[in-house]
Amino acid sequence: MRASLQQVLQRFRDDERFKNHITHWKTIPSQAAKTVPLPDDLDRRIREALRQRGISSVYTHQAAAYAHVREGKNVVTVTPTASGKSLCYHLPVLQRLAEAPATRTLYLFPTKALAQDQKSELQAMVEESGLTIATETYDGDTPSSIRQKIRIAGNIVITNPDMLHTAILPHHTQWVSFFEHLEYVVIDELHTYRGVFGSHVANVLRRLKRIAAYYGGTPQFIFTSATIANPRQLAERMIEAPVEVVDNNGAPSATKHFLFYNPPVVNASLNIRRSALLEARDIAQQFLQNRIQTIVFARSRVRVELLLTYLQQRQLDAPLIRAYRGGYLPSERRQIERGLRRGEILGVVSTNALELGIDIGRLEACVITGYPGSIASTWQQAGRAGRRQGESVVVLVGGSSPTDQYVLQHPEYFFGRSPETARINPDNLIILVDHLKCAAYELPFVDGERFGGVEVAEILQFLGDEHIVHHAQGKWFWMSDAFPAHEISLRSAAQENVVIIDITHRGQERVIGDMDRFSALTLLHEEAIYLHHGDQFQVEKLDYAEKKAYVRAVQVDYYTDANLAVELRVLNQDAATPGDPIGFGLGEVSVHAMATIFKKIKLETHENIGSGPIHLPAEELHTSAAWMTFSEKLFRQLEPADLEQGLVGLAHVLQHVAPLFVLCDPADLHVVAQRKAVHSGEPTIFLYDRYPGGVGLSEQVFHEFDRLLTEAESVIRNCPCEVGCPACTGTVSARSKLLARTLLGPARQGGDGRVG
Amino acid sequence: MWDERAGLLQERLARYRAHLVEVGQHGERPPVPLQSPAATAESSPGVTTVESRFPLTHRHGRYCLGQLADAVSAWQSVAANHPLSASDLSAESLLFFDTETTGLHYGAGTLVFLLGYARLLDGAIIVRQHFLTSPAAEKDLYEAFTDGVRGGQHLVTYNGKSFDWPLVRSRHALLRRELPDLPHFGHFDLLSACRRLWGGELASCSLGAVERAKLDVVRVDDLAGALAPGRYFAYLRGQDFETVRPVLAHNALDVLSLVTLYIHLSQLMAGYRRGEGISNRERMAVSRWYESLGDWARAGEGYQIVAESEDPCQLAARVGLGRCLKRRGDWQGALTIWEACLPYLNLAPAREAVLVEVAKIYEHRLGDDEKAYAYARQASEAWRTKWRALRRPAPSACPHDRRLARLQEKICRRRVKQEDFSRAMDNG
Repeated sequence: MRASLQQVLQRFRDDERFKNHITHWKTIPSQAAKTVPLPDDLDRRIREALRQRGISSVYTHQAAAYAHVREGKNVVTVTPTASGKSLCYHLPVLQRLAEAPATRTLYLFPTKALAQDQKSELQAMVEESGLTIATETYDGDTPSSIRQKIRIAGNIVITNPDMLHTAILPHHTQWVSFFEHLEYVVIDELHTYRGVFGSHVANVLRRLKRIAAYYGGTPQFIFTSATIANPRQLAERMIEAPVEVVDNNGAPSATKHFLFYNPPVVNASLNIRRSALLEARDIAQQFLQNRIQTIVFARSRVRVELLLTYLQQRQLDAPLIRAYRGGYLPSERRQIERGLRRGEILGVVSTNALELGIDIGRLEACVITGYPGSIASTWQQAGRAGRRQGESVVVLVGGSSPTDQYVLQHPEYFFGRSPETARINPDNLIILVDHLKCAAYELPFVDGERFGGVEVAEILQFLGDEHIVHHAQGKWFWMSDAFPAHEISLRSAAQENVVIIDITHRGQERVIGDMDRFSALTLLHEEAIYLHHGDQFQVEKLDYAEKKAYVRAVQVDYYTDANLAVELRVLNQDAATPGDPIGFGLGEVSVHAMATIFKKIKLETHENIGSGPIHLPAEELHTSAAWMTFSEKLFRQLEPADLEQGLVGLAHVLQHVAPLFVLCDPADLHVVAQRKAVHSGEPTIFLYDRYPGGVGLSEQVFHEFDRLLTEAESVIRNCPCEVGCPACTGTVSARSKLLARTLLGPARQGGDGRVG
Repeated sequence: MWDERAGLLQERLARYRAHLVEVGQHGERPPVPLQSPAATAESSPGVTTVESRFPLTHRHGRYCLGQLADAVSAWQSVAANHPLSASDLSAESLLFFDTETTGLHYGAGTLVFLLGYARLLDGAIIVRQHFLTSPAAEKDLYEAFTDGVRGGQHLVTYNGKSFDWPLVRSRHALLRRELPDLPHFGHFDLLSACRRLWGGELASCSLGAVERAKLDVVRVDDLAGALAPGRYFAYLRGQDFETVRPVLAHNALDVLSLVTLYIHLSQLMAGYRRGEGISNRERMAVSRWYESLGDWARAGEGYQIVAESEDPCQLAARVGLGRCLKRRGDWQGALTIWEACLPYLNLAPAREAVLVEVAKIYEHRLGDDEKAYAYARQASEAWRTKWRALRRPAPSACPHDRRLARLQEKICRRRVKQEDFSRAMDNG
């Protein structure tokens, strides 16, 4: 017999199997709607269209956003998932078009899928209103036959930043009337524009404003964002102009249960917990077998595929459970989204690819496997369960990493702390120069002209010396036969993806997906087991130069896990706080990353059953780093082997704690320990930005070393293990816990009087 | 964020050089001096205009330049409705036009640095080239150009409809507030004509390939077009005109080849009936072109010549001739030709098309439904053969099913009627 959601929840409360491991159960009460009448000046045709969809009043945040836009201000609306954010921009945009039909608006969504969703919704509204407003998506899928029409007559052009970057701005002379009448730029999902991607997009917006100014316009910006700590700061950094914040959320919400689940300890002395993956499987199972539509999030593509395999094995109607992640073809993704909306698909296992506002309808349960790394991201994933009515449940299953354990044991950190700051650094030298090139291609720079807020004379001089631009009569002209936008990707440092080709059937070779180069180092090396839709493939050959991986279907009972060896060299020290016995530094480094060996790990038991070497070239990265250096004194107190073990242990803790306190995605900041650093010959721990040139994370680390080390110390102290464990220092051998604390001891005392 | 360390910027730029300047590297070669014809150069700030005069007796490849006038008058005598027809144009109004640019990407950062055109003026072919000596002087370049082309009406280019002219308009759009409007030119883009005529024959339809195969143009010491941008960048750095002289020479040859090519195409299109200098393959292409323009008479004449030859195209020509006869109302003639062709037509698609036509004539003109039905049956077999040959599953509905069903119904109805009639006769 099937159980309802309430009954499943009751089982969690009563059943020994679950109840002892639920460390926190928070019930978020329902909230009633806060509405106000439709704005007075709203065109009657728009009122009519709203009436037809049963809308006779607006939520408080929608009214506030409308008012700000009408006053000519830039605005950012910050409310949770499914709170009717899109009306915040549709209303003022449609109103303006009702008054002045010649005006143009640009809608930017981070992905094509979101653009498609919004186009359908918007076109339906426009049709009901009877207004003549041409609304079209302009992206790689737009047929060339209608492109010209869109350029000449599109009132609302819906696109993504990549398309703006490579197809619209460099060809602005074909968009003259568009730019001449451009009044609004709508940017949805602002919170996704952080880190490297956000820094790129901020520069694309500098270019957009520059082109608009050339054609005589100053567009107004309308943002919406999921909850982050600094919406105003992020939006203002994006457009270098004042922005009003709207956060008086008036949308109703239903009761939501938020459970923290910490897997049982299976080895007390080593503090080893049961795998989060297996626990997530068992919990998801409870929902799925009762036909409760469920989404399961996992943190990597491999884990998504593993979970899918596990769940399909247990479930009789396996086809109802699907995986969703990057690397699948767009058509496959659309099919899954449709299946979810229609309820034809019961369960989906996803990476954070489904975190964004892609419309997959309302799900009742959400299982998050491992802390997603940020508070904002966790809320985004949790928002997938339960929208406006009906109870819903979110279960966060902790992993054994220090980060997960910290969050699981400190629910107040999660529920009490404001969510992350979204950080961008549009002035990262590499990103800035990339876009300066694109901007010079689009329009010559005039002497003294700034790019956004940046003084660029020196950079233009540099590009001139490199014969990329040419100075003549007070202007800098693009003077190269290259098309710079094609060579610059907004999404990742590595440009070209590796294509994955299935060669199982001779004569029927087919492309089944792709992957960025850096991930390919550890996921597509020869002999790796690559999982696609739950099917296992073995990589037979990786042609790294041609960016092709040839895979063949296999059936094995293991998966592979590769090691990445990292070598690091300091190029330049920008700031330093010498100290004894611990000093701190900040500067530029070069990092060599090389995949070394891989291990074969048995499914279910996760035991190591073999290994092999990987022969791939090293990837090189120039970036910024913060580091701490330990002096001679400690050498004398410690055996060399102990010193090394202590360093590695401490690095492990920092790798997990630093992202929590610098507030970034763990993948953006890496930690490396060196027994003898090349630049000083002393034991050193480096924390470096993952993106070339850095996006400001290591600077933050440098300024907050004190706080960071305090937290690291507390994590080690509070961990229940005896000598060290995967949840703190990473290794269970010998005395790594003690050694790491030995290293931290002097740091905690000698950290005063430092200035950044 | 980096401003705090502004003093270090240059150092940092140098250090990150490898990350920053992977674009914009061009292969460079030392300039090769090249002799150009008698030329006069005239410089205004920002623009150098070079003018070379070629007498009408000057031979460029297959023709003398003076034959341009003959080509134009040939069109006048033909009076055909053809996209390349100059019947209402004078030879003087044609501008044989080509540009040199800083790249092949069609975007706002691609600069046109050389506008070259040949035209008939005062009893000679004048090649005029406006060269941009400073990228800051584009306004002067387009002023010189609009001034220089005065009196011209019609552009003749090679791929100019999709590249050169839109690029010129895009550059002009950037300066539109400071410049008079561009003239509204008509436009013959000879690339599409070459593709029609020789696409199946030549591996490439680049101007160079056409010159070699069809125009007898031999270039000596010619600079490859792809090197032109690099030469221009080198010129901007060194300001030595010798660096770009080969680019101008290359561009001059291009526009002269356009003259020769236009003469040749006009010869083929206007004089296709005469035997000399045209292959049957080309005659077929010309006829197909006329046919697509609805000029059945001219198309038919071309097909007729090939049909009467021993050429391998002969069968296709007869089928085409049938189409032209039918279009002109001579369905009896068409039927005769087609029925004679059928035993030799083995290729399924061609066979299918003819069978359908024949079936239509029997059904609608001769009222012979039985014969029409038999031909339609064969057509549907040919259709099936075609899909088998493609090794792909045929669509579920055959396009001839409706005709077959209709014919069958008509045949049955007639039989019933006849039976009724004979029964009535018997009873009577």
